[in-house]
Amino acid sequence: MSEKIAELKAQIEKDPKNDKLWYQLGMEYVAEDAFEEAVDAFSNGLIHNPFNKDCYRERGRKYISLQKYAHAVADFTIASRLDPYDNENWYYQGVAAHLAEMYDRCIEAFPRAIECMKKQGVDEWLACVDWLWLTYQTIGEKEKAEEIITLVDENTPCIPRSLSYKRRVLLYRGIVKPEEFLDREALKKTDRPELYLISELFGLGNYYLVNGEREKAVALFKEARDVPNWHSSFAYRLACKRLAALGE
Amino acid sequence: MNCKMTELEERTKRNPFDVEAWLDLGALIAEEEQDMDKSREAFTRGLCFSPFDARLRLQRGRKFMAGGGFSQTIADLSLAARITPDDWEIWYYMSVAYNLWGKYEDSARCFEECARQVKEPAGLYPIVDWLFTTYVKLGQNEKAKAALELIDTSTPCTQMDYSYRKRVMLFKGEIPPETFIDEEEILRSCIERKDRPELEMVTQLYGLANYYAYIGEMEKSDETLKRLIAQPKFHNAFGYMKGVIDARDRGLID
Repeated sequence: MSEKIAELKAQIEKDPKNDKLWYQLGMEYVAEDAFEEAVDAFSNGLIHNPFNKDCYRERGRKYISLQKYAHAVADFTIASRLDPYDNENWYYQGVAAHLAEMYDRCIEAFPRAIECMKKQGVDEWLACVDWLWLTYQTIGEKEKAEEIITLVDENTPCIPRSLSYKRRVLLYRGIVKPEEFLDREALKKTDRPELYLISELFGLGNYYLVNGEREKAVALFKEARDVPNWHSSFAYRLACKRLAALGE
Repeated sequence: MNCKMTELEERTKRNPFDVEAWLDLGALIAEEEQDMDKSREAFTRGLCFSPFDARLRLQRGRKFMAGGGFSQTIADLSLAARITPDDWEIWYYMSVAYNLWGKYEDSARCFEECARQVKEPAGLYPIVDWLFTTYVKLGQNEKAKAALELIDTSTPCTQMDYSYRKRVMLFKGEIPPETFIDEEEILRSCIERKDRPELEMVTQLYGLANYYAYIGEMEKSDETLKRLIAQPKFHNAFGYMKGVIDARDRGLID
């Protein structure tokens, strides 16, 4: 048990109905990847304040980590009712909905996330475009998939951790060629090389799959699956889902 | 999947805001398949469209309990109680969850609130029963006795609550413990439903074990608990779950 967790537990012992303390405890568990403990802590916060939007949002994120996707959607749904201006409530709602195969909800949530992020000057909305493309392709709405990616071009600003998403959208647009897409050396220089590698392996693999190149897709999904870390990342989960759906 | 289930699945697809369909679907899955995770998933999907529906929160909350997810149960029920504060059922299951969690003060507080919200006297039997055993657990025997005064056992009960009434009669000294468990009487008296007699047996054995503990006959209480734990079915019934907790506390099982 970390010192911070022990300290928070001691504070909670004296003030057990303090939902903010439970939230803080949950966040410490999140930092340690203790997903079940985090869900428990956020739930305890909600016992004492059933309208604590932060507890719903963060519990939702941990439900995603635990692969309880519908539970995550439910939590983000209420979080977004309590605070419709928090872009994360919409973004993660869309992510969870996609993983739960609730594609109608994706199509509702991601545009709201884009709207919030743009208004707030958060240059992460490109990730939503990528998710929308994935969703539209999955449900066979190819025209809408082609339309949404026109929001992004080479000059669209984005923060470093959204760079993989941007490159994927440029790939879908044909601005980046598939054979030039994966720059393994450049990825090694990032702050999370394996995470972004998984993201790009999945993105490229899915691009090939959508374009009928199954063998190439499977090889890339398998490489993503075989990365030893980041198994709770969205791209990892999606790569595994694709492989399962392909009977691999 | 049976016809009724298919029909309900179709209804939720046509209109995901159809709360009744989600409620019926989750209940049917629990009854037909005994798959609490799948049942809970149905209620959860309903909450994705109707996040402030107290009935969905209640039913989902109940399904977290089967897996020991008490904080998640009470989180759902706490929200439900804010939305519909006069629904006795919400308070009832919140009380039970606290009880199974070992938080007996909170459990008693919620059962008292539950008793206040019950509209029909006959509905008090399960609440009085739980209040009694909770106060006994807390060592508050005077409050336990006071709880028994909330109902007169001449009040008829529903067939569903038959075992709770019988337990209250036991606690009041109206049925001798030696003749309390009567398999033929259970068969005659309980609701006609598949495996119901086995459920009533679990409920009554737990009540008897509690009563023996209350009057200080611990050896008989332990024997009754062991007999309870040996029951082959309804291990997710409250009486069974409580029995396991008590048996573990006493070192009767690991």
